[in-house]
Amino acid sequence: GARFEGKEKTSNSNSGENVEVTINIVDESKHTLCGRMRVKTSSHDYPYNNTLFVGEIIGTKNGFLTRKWDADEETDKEHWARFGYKFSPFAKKFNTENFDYQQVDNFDYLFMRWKEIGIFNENCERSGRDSHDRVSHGFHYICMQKHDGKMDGYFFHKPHHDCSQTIELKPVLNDTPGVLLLR
Amino acid sequence: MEFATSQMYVDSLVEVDDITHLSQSLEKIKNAVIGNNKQKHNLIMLGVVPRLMKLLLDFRENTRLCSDAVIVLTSLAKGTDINVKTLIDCGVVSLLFEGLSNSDTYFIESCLQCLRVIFTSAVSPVDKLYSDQSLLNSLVGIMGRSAVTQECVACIVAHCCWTADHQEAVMRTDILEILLPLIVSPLFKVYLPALKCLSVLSFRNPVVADRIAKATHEANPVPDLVSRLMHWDRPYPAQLWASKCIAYLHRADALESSDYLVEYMTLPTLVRLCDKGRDVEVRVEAADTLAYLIELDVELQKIASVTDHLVEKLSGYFLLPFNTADNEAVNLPKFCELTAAGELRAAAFKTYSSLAANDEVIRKKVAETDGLMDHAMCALEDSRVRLSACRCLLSLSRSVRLLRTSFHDYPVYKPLIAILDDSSCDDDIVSVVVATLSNLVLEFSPSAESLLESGIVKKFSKYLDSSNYSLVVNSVWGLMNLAFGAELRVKTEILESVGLERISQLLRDNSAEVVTKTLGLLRNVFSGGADIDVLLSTYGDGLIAGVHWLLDADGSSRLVVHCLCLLGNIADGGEVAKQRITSEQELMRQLVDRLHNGDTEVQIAAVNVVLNLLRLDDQGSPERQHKLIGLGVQRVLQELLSCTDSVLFEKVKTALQQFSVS
Repeated sequence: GARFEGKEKTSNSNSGENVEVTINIVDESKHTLCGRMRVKTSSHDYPYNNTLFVGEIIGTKNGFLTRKWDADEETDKEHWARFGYKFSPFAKKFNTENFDYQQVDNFDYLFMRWKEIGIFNENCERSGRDSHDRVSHGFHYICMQKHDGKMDGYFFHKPHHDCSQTIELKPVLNDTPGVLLLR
Repeated sequence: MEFATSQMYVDSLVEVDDITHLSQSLEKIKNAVIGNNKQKHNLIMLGVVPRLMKLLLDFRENTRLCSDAVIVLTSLAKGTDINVKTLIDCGVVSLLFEGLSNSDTYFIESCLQCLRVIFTSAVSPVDKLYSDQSLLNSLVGIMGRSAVTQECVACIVAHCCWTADHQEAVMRTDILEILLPLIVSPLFKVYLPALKCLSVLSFRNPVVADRIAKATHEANPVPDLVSRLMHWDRPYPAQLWASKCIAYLHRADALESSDYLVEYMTLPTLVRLCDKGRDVEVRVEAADTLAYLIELDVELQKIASVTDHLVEKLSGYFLLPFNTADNEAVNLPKFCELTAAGELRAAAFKTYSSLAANDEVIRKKVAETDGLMDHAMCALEDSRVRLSACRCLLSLSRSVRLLRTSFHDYPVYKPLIAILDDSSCDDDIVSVVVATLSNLVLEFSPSAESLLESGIVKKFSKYLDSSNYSLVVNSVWGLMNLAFGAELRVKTEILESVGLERISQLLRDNSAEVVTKTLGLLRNVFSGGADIDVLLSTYGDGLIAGVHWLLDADGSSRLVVHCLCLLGNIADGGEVAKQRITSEQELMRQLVDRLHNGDTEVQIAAVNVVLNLLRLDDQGSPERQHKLIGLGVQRVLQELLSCTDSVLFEKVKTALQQFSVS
C-alpha cells in the first residue's frame, strides 16, 4: 500500500502531469509487485488515466535483460544507462554468463520494470474486463533510491521510441499504507 | 445341490484322524473353491473356518497338512471382503502369526501368503499389526528366508504403513538393512514391493529419508540404484514407484531439487508416465506424484511446465466423459469408466495447481489450456473432483492479470459461493474456497462487487469461529483484502459482522499468523482519514485496548511493527482519533519506549505514529505537540539523530522539524 507521487513528463510537455502510484502487492519471494498508476490527463472526457501494472524487481529472480515487450539487448543497455552512476557498477558486466545478481539485491538502488496490464475507470471503481486499446504496450524502466524511496524512470514503447517519456516519484511520507496480499 | 456338496466338504474335516483322508479332503476343497465365490461363501457359512483352525492346532507337527489347510484359508480370503472379515473375526490372523515361528519354510510361506491377502484387503486389520511390536519383529525376522517371504513381508508393510507412528514402529525392526538389497533383485515381484516399502517409510519422514538417501549397497548409493528402475524398459509400476521413492526423498529434504536424480530422472519419468497410452491407474498416480514433487519448488515447476508438452498432455485427462447422458443406465463398465474419468480429472487439476502455484508465465499457459476453465467450473459442482479443481483455481487466482480476464469471462465466484452455502461440504474444501475468494475480493478484481452483493462479509465472518486453523486464517485474510480501499459502509459491515469481541480474541490468538492478519485487517479498516473518526466513535475502546495489550505482550518485532502501523493509521485520522491516542497514558508510554528500545523497523514505525500525531495542519496540533514534549518524545528523537539508518534518520529529521515550526 505504499504511495508515491510525482510527475510524468513527455517531450511535448515541460511541466509534466501529476502522477500517483500505489504499490498494492509486493511478493518478496518472487521479486514481483503490482500496483496502480493514476495520471492526470488534459482530456475532459478522461481526466485521469488509472492503470494497473505488474512489476519485476531486478535481482536474482529477474535479470536486467528484458527479453520481451519488444525490448532487445540494445534497448535495455540504452535505458538502464540513462540512470547514470546508479547503474554504472553493472553497465559493463550485467550481460555476462557469471554475473552475480546477489550484488544487485544488496545494492543501494533498486531497479525495476513496470508493465501496464489493465485499466480502472476514472472513478477508480472496480471495472470490467480491460479495454486493451487503452492499455499501453510499453513499459517503464525504474530506479529507486532505497534510503529515501525516491524513484525515476523511463518509458519504452517500440513504435514511439523517439518520444521521451520520464517519470519522477517520491514517497508520500507519514503515509499509512494498507495491507493487500495474494493468498 | 451345491450347498449339499459344500456340507459334504465341511463334514469331511470333522473328527477325522486319518491324515491321508484329511489331505484328500483339503485337496478337494481347494479345487472346489478356486475362482468360485459362491462356494467360498457357502463353506464359510457352514463353519469351515473354525474346522480348519482346529486342524491347524491338532496337527501342528504335520506341516504339510497344515500348509494345505492354510492354502484353503488363503483361497477363501481371496473371495470377498466379507470373507476376509470372517477370517479375521475367527482369529485366523493370530494363528498365522504363530505359524511364523515354525522351522518349515514352506509352511511359513503359506502363512505369509495368507497374511498378505488379509493385510492387503480393504478390511485390513492394520491396528492389530501395530498392537504388538513382536508381530512386526516376527515378520521382519523371517523376511530373509526366501523370495516368497521377501515379497510377502514387503507387501504387507508397504500396504499397512500409513502414519508416522506406523513408520516408527516398523523402523524399530531391522527392515531397512533387509530391504535395501532387495531393490536390486532380478525378480519384479520382489523389488517392486521393496520399492513401495522404501517409499512409504520415507514419506514425510526426514529421518528415515535421510538414512535411505545416504545408504549404499555394494558401494552404490541407494538413490542411484532406485533410479535405475526408472528406465523406460522397466515395467510401468517399477518406473512409477521408483519415481515416487525419489520424490518422497526430495520432499522429506533428503535430496535437493537440483539433484540430478530429481530434476533429470524423476521429473521427466513422471511426465512420461502421464502419456496417453498408459493405463488410467498409472496416469493418475504419475500425475499425483508429479504434483507432489513440484508443489513447493518454483524451479521444478518451471522445468515441468516445459517438459514434454506436459500442460497439453494433462488436458487429455479430460477426454473421458465424466457424466452420464440423460436416461443412460449405469452398468458396471460404465461405472468404472466414470470413476476413471473422475480420478483423471482430479489428478490433472492437482498437477495444474502445483504447476501454476508461483510463476505468472505458467499460470497464463495453464489458464489458456483449451477448455480448462469450463472443466473447472463443472468440476466445482461435483463432490468427486471439486477439491482439486478449487486448488487449481486458487493457484490461478494469484495472477492479477487472470483475475481481470479468465475469472471475469468465467464467473467462477458463483459455484464457489454455492459451495459455501452447501452445509454438507467439509472444512478442507471450504478452506480452499475461502482462500480463492480472498483473491477474488481484491479491489482490482471485477468479481469483487458481485461478491460483496452476495454477502461475502457475513460468509467470511462466520468461519472465524471455526476450529479449523487454516479456515480461520483464510477468513481473516479474505476480510483483510476486502477492507483494502473499501468504502466506509463495507468497513462498517465488516466490523459489525465480526464483532469487537471476536476481534479482541483474534488479536490474542496463539498463532502469529492470525494476529498479523487481524492487524492487517484493522489497518485496512482504520485507514482513509475521515473514516477513522467515525469508526473510532463506535469501536475505539476495544481497538485501543487490543493494541495496548499487544504492545505489552512483548511479541516479535514483526508483530510490534504491525501494531505500530495500525496506531499510525489511527493517528492519521481527525482530531478525535489523535486525541484518543494522546489521552491514553499507557499507550503513549509504550510508544516512547519503542522509540527508545525497539530495533530499526520498530523505531521507524513508531516515528510514523509521531509524525501523524504532530501534523501541523490538523486541529489541536499545538496541544498535542506540547503533550509529546512533556512525554519526552522530542528528546528521544534528538537522540535518534545519531542513528545510522538513513530511512530512520530522514523521518526523525522531519519529525523534529515539525516541533521546531510550532
